[in-house]
Amino acid sequence: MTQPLRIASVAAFLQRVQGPPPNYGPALKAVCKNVPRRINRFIQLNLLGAHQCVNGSGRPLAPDCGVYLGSAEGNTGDTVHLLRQVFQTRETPNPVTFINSSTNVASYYLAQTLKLHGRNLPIASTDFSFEAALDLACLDVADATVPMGLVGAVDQGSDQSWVGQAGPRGALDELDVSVWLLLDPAHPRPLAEIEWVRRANTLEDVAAWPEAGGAAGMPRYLALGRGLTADARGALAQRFSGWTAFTYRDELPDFEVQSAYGIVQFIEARKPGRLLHIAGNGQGACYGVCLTAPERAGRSAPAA
Amino acid sequence: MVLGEGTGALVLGMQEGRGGSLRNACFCGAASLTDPQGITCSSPERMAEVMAAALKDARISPGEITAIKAHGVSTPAGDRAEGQGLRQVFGGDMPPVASFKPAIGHTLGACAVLETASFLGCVQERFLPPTPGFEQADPAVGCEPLRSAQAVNPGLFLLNHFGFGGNNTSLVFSVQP
Repeated sequence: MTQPLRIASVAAFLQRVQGPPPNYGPALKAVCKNVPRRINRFIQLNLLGAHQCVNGSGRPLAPDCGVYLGSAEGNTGDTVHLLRQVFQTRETPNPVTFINSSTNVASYYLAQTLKLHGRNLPIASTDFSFEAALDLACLDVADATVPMGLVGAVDQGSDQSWVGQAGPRGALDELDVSVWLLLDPAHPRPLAEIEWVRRANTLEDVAAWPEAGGAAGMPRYLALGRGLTADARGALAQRFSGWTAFTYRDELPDFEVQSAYGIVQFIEARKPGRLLHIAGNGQGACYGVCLTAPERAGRSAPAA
Repeated sequence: MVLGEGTGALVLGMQEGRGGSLRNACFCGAASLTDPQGITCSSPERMAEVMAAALKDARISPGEITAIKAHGVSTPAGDRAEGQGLRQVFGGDMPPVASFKPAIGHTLGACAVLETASFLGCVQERFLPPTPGFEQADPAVGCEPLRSAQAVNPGLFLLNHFGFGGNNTSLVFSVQP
């Protein structure tokens, strides 16, 4: 990236999952004109967060805007039910249930409801799914492969139907999460600008990350996300010793795609300054996202 | 359609003369587009669009393609759409079409990388594989996969991957002598 990339809009939706599975149909109708029928909760979550984000940009979406969906566990919507049918009760699954278990299908409905026909990349990975999606989107927008990039991080919490079914990490996830940001290089009044997105395979490689940037005298904030050991946190805090800590997840249960949430929280907090967010994979690799939020009045107002 | 399972990976590098078993293969271009009206099967027009975009990205014309690796999902609607899309791009000058799913099954999310690696490996060994079990052509498809193995020279190759949810991708590779 040679030029900072403008973030036109952000949206974050978090919901604790306790008791019966939530139904986001009514909330979705408020933000999406033509809600598709027969969609599962994961797809609802995608549409809810993404439409909120797009509606907040104040500008029409380019039809060839790219969609980049990061998810730690992918479309778990009906997968448990589907697998029980196939392997336990030996029933033939409903075709719609089968189709809706694909992660691609969530971003398909997004493209359909937003009338998009460009690049559409779902990335399901336990670690760094959001960072990888953002990295790809920045590359595509920077070289004009796509005119805009809609980048999301979506994961579905466990609900009552999963009781007795531990997740991949041996614990039930407690949150439904849908966090989105819209990259629009031509937006006249961006909320923030991404300076760079970088991956380091070891903590030592972080030393090569640029520290300079942003306006002179701009406050600098360091957010340390999940997947960093205590030693790594200490080393990073020392490496960026002049930076003020930015915390965002103290009262939340653990969830995989919290990098996206942290970045959006910083932007929504309207702190003018520079944020460096670093997350790890628990094995030494790190992903950093550096952005600046300008100090200006009325940033959240839609552009003309 | 028969499902399969497997895993694969491609390692890309910038330097010539290095690499493993596919060191003569070079990634030349690609396109990835969405068909927002085709949750289980795209239209021929959308498939043709992504193939043409990949050729444009690689800066080559359809006439320069030596052979095609079809997605070949083996559903009537899917194969007809892909065949008609190929017709729109290549017209009557259709290069040989290879298809891997009859041999290894449909490995769903893994099929693109597995079939790319398999196809490039075959080309590097100078042959295109046959299509096991293929007996009768569907006239509505407009083309048919190879019935028997065929020798092939190095050149440029188009590889189609069309997924659920209207995710369509075409890749262009060259294989050098």
